[in-house]
Amino acid sequence: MKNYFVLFACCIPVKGHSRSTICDLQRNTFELIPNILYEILTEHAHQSMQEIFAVYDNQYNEEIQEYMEFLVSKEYGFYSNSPLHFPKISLDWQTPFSITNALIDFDEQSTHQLSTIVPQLSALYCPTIELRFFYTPTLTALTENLELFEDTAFRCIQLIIGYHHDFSAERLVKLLQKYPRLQNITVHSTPVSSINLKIRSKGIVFTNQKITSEACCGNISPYYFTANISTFTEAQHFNSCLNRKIGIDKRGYIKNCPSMNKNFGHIDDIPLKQVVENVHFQKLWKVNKDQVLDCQDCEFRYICYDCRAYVANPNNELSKPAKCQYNPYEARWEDQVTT
Amino acid sequence: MILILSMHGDLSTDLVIDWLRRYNHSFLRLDLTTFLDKSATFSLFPPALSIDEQAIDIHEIQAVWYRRTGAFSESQYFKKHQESLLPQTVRQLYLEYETLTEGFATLFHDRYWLNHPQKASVNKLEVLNIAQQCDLPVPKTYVVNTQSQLATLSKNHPLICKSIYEPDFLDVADKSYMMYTAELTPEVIQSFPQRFYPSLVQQKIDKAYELRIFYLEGQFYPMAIFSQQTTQTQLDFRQYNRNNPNRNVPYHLPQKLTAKLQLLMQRLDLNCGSIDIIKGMDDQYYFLEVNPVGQFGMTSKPCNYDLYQLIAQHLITKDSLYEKAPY
Ligand code: SF4
Repeated sequence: MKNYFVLFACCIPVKGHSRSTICDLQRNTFELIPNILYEILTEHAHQSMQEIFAVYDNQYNEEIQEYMEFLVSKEYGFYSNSPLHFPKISLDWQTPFSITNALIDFDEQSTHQLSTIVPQLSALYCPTIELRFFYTPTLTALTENLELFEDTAFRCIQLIIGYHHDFSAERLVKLLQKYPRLQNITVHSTPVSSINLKIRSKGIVFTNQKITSEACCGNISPYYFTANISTFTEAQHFNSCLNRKIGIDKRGYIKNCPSMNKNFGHIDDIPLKQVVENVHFQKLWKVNKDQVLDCQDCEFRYICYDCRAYVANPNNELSKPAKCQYNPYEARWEDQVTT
Repeated sequence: MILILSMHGDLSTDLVIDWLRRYNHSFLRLDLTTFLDKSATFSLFPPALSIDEQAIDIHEIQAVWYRRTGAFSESQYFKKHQESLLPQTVRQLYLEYETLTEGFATLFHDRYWLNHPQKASVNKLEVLNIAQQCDLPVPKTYVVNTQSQLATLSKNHPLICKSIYEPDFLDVADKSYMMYTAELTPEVIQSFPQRFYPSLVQQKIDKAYELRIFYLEGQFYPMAIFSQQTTQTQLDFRQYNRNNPNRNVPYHLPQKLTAKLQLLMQRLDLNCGSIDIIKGMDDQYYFLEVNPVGQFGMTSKPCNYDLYQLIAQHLITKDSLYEKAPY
């Protein structure tokens, strides 16, 4: 009989006010567990089963055993005689980039040009960009925009566009094939219900959701929870939405995200690099969930995205996301808001 | 300046370069198909290099990272001419190309090298021999070409079979087949002809888990792979199970083992590489093989080791430390 229970290092317990989770960073899932099990798995991690039984006065041997069997059956952990061979995973998070993602909005009245934005971001080696069209651009305009990315440092482009009957799946697949950086296309405001297509590692989504303004963003729901090593470790130290993000709103103003009120100047007036280096611009990057009210007591805090644009109490910038319906103190979801 | 010899599209190279940029350290990336697909000249006496008509001051280069060779078959040149050339000509051109790239490396013979083209491919059998000499337990290993021999061996212990050279993908009619480690059950052995192509056969070790260890100049970055939960990957973790991926977690190596592995890497004259080990049900560590220029992303990510950053830092240190080469 092996004496120690060991969690796989990629399965990390996170304690909330009334219950805890095990976040599985390799399988992108989580498991809800009672806080007492959290205690066993963390405070008594290096004790043998016998020792753990004794901690609880041998009153709950069966229950504890059952918990462990459950965790083994779900492959969250295993029994071993040499637990010291299995160190914890480092929770450091590092990036070589000053900006890791950009979000650029356009509506029909927009006057800012992608041709002035793309070279500036490429010079900063920004790897990911999301182009969000609240309307339906023409195919020609789209192609012209995508051409701008040839020979740039970008690795991934995400496209959000309004529906047009011209945007057939075949047409869009052709776009994905022609532009290797283009990773996925979301077509919003479709007349039909939603369709998800996977083309190798790329994707096309047709959704009847109307993404016609930046206010569509900031939703909090288990649907958006992400449990992987890079987002989980980033969230330990930084804001899970805004860290190293740059946004340009539909009027061309540079912001932490297009939904924020505060802007750092207009794209026609100030170089992006100057904004990125501004310490005031970087301030929100460091607001992790441990600083946000309510979230700091929530068992989902490292797998949940944050939102600093729409907050529950506009007078307190550290209040929790306005669109969150979860109450960590009662472990209860209120009715979901629909946007 | 750091010289990086790689191939086009190699992601690991891109990710190390991200860090070199971040640290503001100069580098030159040379995808070795450059000599086939761009205008490129080098001179032996005095040493000089120019690419796309641009002279490169090679005295600036103090550290070289040999990531991998651009495959001849992936060059534009080969793709363009493959139809019109005789197989024999292709072979000759390939060897010309290989010799050229090896010769190019000698321009930098007195610089620091992280991995070296001459050490890029190791002989599996030789490595097992040396490992044995370093006091590392190694599964019993045979090269066999008759069914009767195989049948006799299988009476002593269960057997597995793997390639003697590096395993490769076989592309047949739009499908890609990977060579992998397979178990030789009595039924499988029964089905073989009396004589077959000489094959590497090893004693099958009942494993608790596998270790994949990235080694970088004296430092070990070990990862344990739990593949036993699903039978699909019991023998070879490369047979990946997408629905229920292996558990890959950081590992702590016992000091005795690292000392032996360190000795092995010294004997093999390798300063970087990936080592495969099986932890047996009998609690022994069995050495399997070492791969000098393998992908290390599969170790870096799950264990959060950030090996790209470490490699970049290592190269920068070496590039800054090395004495300027005499002119
Ligand atoms: S309380 Fe905070 S961390 Fe928890 S679900 Fe809501 S927004 Fe996410």
